[in-house]
Amino acid sequence: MGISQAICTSFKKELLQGVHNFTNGSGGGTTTTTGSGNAFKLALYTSSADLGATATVFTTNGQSSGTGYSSGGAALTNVTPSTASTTALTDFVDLTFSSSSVTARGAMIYNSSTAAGTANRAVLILDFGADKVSQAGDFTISFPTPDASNAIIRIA
Amino acid sequence: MLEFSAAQAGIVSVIATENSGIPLDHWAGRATDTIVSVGSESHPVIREQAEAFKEQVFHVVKHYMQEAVKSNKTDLIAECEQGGYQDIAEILRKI
Repeated sequence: MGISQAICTSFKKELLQGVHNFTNGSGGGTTTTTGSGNAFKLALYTSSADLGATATVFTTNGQSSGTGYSSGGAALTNVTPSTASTTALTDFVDLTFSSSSVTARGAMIYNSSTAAGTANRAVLILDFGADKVSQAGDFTISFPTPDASNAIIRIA
Repeated sequence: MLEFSAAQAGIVSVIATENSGIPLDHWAGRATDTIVSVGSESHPVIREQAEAFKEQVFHVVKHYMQEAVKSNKTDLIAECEQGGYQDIAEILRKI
């Protein structure tokens, strides 16, 4: 099955339920998210993972391992959502696993906060297109330009 | 009916290195892209000026990043020397 890039279907439903808040710091959100941004993380996966639109929660199955990488991945820094014309979008600050030796074919971004009673809800799956390998080096994920055509999460 | 036409995930770029870090030019470029965005549909004259400004920003950012790296190197060397690790300090000085 492998890894297929997608926004998780469960995440789309949870957006309509007001479960996730991508604000950086306080602001936004609803009573379920206490008016401040949730904590999002990025976990790396090997090509043996089976991830796509049907993912609902963070899993350790197929997760990458190696020096400089801990299970669960690393915390992302939110960039408060904005709009560009009629598109709503959000972004994250680039993430680096420094001095690492790790192999990954893709990643999952998930909400590590306990939101509406459940933690680690899946947001989206990233397919790197090929195995990416760091060896005593840096493994960096750069997010796309935060505009209506490229941002990491867009609702048009 | 209210309908979203699309909820989409963007394409990330991944850089993985072996036995080295990521070149400073990459970070200066990322910082510049974050500071200055030139719209693809801008008027050609405005676009040209914006691209020239962006190039200047890149060099300024790169310069101060280099200075920051040098300062950090100085910190590391001083730390090693104060800890009695002269050999490691010398290696750092040569990098």
